[in-house]
Amino acid sequence: MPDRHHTEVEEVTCREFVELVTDYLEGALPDRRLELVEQHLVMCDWCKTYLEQFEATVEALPGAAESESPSREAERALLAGFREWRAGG
Amino acid sequence: MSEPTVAFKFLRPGAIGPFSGFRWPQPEGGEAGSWVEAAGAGGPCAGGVHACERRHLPLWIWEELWEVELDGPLEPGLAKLRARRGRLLHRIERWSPLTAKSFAGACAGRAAEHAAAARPDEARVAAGMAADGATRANTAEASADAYVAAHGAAVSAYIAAMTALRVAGREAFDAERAWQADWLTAELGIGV
Repeated sequence: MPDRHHTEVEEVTCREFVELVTDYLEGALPDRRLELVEQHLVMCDWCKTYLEQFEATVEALPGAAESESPSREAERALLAGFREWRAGG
Repeated sequence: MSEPTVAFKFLRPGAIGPFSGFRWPQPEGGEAGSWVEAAGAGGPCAGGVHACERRHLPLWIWEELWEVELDGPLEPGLAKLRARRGRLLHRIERWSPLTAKSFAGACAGRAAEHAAAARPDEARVAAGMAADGATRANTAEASADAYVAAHGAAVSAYIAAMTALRVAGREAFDAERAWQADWLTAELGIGV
């Protein structure tokens, strides 16, 4: 019974965080899920790095430096693209 | 009409929110910091100002610890409180890299105790978890970096709780987290 007790504590895993990162950045996570994600980020350097790299990629999109509204649109486009990639993978 | 509530908030160096990136107004001249109001969607404190009770301190560890005042109706989450507005009262200076390292070491010891009590069929995995906790605590101890110390404390505490869970179930997990909160409370002198 290797994982007998593990299911008894609600938490977010690294794998789940990768799935949730776009919703996290868009502020679209429900409160409970958001809190579990943040608890995970306190401890997980791997996911913190992943998040920072993801945010840096969004910031580096063309138009991000010129004004705020285009960068928001570009961010949405990237997130949509990421979702498509994930769904296809 | 709700009464202001005193709670706690871990922040990054410079009183910066670890998730929002928001720089909290710090106390000056003996006066509390300015009130921070919850912003709408996309704001620095979207949905509310967050802090935690002392019993949830081990779950939110970063480099700085502050006592905060919350105002307005409180909404409890899983392990945090949300309010309409909040302000920093004072930094808890006793939370330092040194304290974080001590806490990490104490939690590594707790993980080892839990592992020692494991049934034979759980002993190998539990021992591995405890060894990981010891490694994290040693890494924190050896570093001069405040982040490494705080992160080591958070991870060592998590490992101790998960080792307790593995060995003895949910009640032991909750008891371990309660022990950790008591340790921090006593060490930091932050009362109930």
